[in-house]
Amino acid sequence: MTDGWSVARALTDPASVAGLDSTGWTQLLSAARALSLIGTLAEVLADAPLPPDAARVLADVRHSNVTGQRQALWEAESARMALADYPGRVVLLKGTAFAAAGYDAALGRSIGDLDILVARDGLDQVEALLLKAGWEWVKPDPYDDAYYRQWMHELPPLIHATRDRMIDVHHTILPLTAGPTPDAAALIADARALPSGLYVLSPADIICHAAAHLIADGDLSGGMRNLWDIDRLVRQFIVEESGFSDTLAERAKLHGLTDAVGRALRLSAQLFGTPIVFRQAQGGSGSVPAIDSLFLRRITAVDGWGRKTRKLTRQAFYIRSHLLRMPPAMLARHLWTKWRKGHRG
Amino acid sequence: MPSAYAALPASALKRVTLGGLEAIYHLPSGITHLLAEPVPDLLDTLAAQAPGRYLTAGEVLGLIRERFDVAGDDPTEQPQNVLAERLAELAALGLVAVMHHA
Amino acid sequence: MRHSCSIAVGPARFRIGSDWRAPIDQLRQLYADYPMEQSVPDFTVRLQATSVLRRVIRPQVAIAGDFTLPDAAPLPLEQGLLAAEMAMNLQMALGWRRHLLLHASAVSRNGRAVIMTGVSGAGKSTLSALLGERGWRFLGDEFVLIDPDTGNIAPFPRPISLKNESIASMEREVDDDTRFGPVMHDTPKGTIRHLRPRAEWVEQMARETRPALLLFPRFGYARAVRRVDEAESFVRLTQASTNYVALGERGFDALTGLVRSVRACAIDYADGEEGAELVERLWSEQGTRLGDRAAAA
Repeated sequence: MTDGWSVARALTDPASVAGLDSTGWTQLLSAARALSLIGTLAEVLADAPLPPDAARVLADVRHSNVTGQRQALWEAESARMALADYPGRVVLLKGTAFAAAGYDAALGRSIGDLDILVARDGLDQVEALLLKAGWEWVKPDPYDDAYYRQWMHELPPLIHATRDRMIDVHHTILPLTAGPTPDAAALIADARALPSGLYVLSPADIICHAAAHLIADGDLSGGMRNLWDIDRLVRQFIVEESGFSDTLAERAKLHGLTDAVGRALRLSAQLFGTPIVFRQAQGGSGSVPAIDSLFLRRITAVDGWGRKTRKLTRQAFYIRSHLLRMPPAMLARHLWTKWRKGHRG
Repeated sequence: MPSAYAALPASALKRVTLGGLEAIYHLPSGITHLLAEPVPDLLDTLAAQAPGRYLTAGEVLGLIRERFDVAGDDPTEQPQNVLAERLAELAALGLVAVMHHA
Repeated sequence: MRHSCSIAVGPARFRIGSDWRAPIDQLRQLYADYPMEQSVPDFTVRLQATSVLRRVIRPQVAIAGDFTLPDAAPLPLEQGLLAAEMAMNLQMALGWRRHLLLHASAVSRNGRAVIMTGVSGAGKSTLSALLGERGWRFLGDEFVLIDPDTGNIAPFPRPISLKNESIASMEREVDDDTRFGPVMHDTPKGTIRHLRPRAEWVEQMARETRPALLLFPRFGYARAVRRVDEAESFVRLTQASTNYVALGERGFDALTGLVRSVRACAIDYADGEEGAELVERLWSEQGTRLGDRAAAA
């Protein structure tokens, strides 16, 4: 039977796909797509021997990966230009951050909206600068607006008028209604600068954020990909960051996310064999708390038709309009001079 | 100090003439622009400079005056100011590089 | 899923699963001439009940698959065939990457194709169906696929979706009743009936052809022909393409290449007869022009 575990196996052991027949491939690809991991699978299998029809599908996916990441990085660059006059730090989050920092987790990762984190007292200025640079409110509904501002950890979403891409401006990484209250100031203070002048969270904070995201995601629809992010990041950070394990424990405690990080790492170890970097007092080796099993059941709940099974809320592969909107015939509007080709005669 | 502008590396733009307009594919963003004169001429002027050389709007105006008649429709508008606006728009679209303190 | 089938149209392979038997049976009939062997599909389409109860009581078909729209409304089971067609279109529109996709119809003669594009209701579908009965090879009424490497058209000859008045006019045109699908009343697009393409068009669907003429037809207006320049064609086709942006640089190359290589006209016509006659006239002018060029070379 195909489910999330089939996808996890293909990701962690690419050689395991060798025995798949045409039905096996069909189901694996559908399940991976439904879990938003098709892009990753395509990159992981880039050098594997593939039957021709599966290879065609995965080649298309890899092509989309390139254009998708290019667009995501350009959105970050556009935000950087728009916020040039904002004196505070602009911190990239999630997929865009992985891609901008060149982390392994970016490989094949689909990236949707641009998510940035700024200091809460800078929100007004950031909002004003984005509006000036062509972003506009998605829903000008005063109730939604008030709700977002009062309870959520972000401004109401903004969409760019000509590029048709969304930006979410966060001032912390969990809704204010959630239990834990991460230390937003510490997240920003510890962020690392990129050559572009934008920032990404520190390695330990990136893991804390991904773990917070997992528990805040009510139906766990993005759970599997979220855990794959965590797996890739942890594998990279334990090699590249000295004392990563201790730092992670400290930061998780600081943000009140010790339980969340512990659970996320246990789950990713179950699914992907993530190395153990985080030891909690409770639970001996080999014993996974019952609630973890429940999480895993829901996270891996997909079938070979790409249906979310086990009564999971269906997740739409949400695609916004691909219609190209031309920038308003830019200069034709205000042609101010008479330009005559050729030399003056 | 006025802002100064330079062309992007040639590999960043694909330019195709379509009748009287020019379609420009901007590789870093994947966005297509359809531009009328004088934009292609501005881009050509910047691209003709030595790599890394930034020009102010005034300097660009000096160069294109050698090849084109430049006369404003509105006599109260200084060509240099309007040119500076156009260049700033191109920079905002990412089609030219900008240095804010030349 | 309980019921399923596989269908290949042009270069694209679909797997369609359904909670009910009827839509799959209808698809098998409508696509009887198409390759149906199972392989790893490019796209999976699901026709599924909106809830367990809705599988049996006033069944509603939800459109799902690899790519879905969040606001796609379900259809009653009697329109299951339409739901399948819409879902297949959606997969192509959002997911296809091997060609530049134009929302257009196309017909071909002597290896050279006419592309017709316009908003829904502009008549491009009916016009292509009509020309198909008058000596042209039908390449598709919904999507035209441009190969970014060669500039050629890969045929995508799906069953033609006839709407409202055009149903009766094509019933008069086509003698063979077996080429028509079931009549679906009260769909979101009015009455719909599918017309199966001739078997030879399906047999030849792997054979590419070269674009030669680009038309922007408008049905129901007084007869008029206007040349369209390259820049206007380019803008109109970016709007008619569902994957131009997603293809990136390859899309730009394909589309600029196309608009620079073909003559383009906007044509207004009062009825199908006049439309077909206009296409024929522009085509013969085009032929003369090509002939002149060949003679000069």
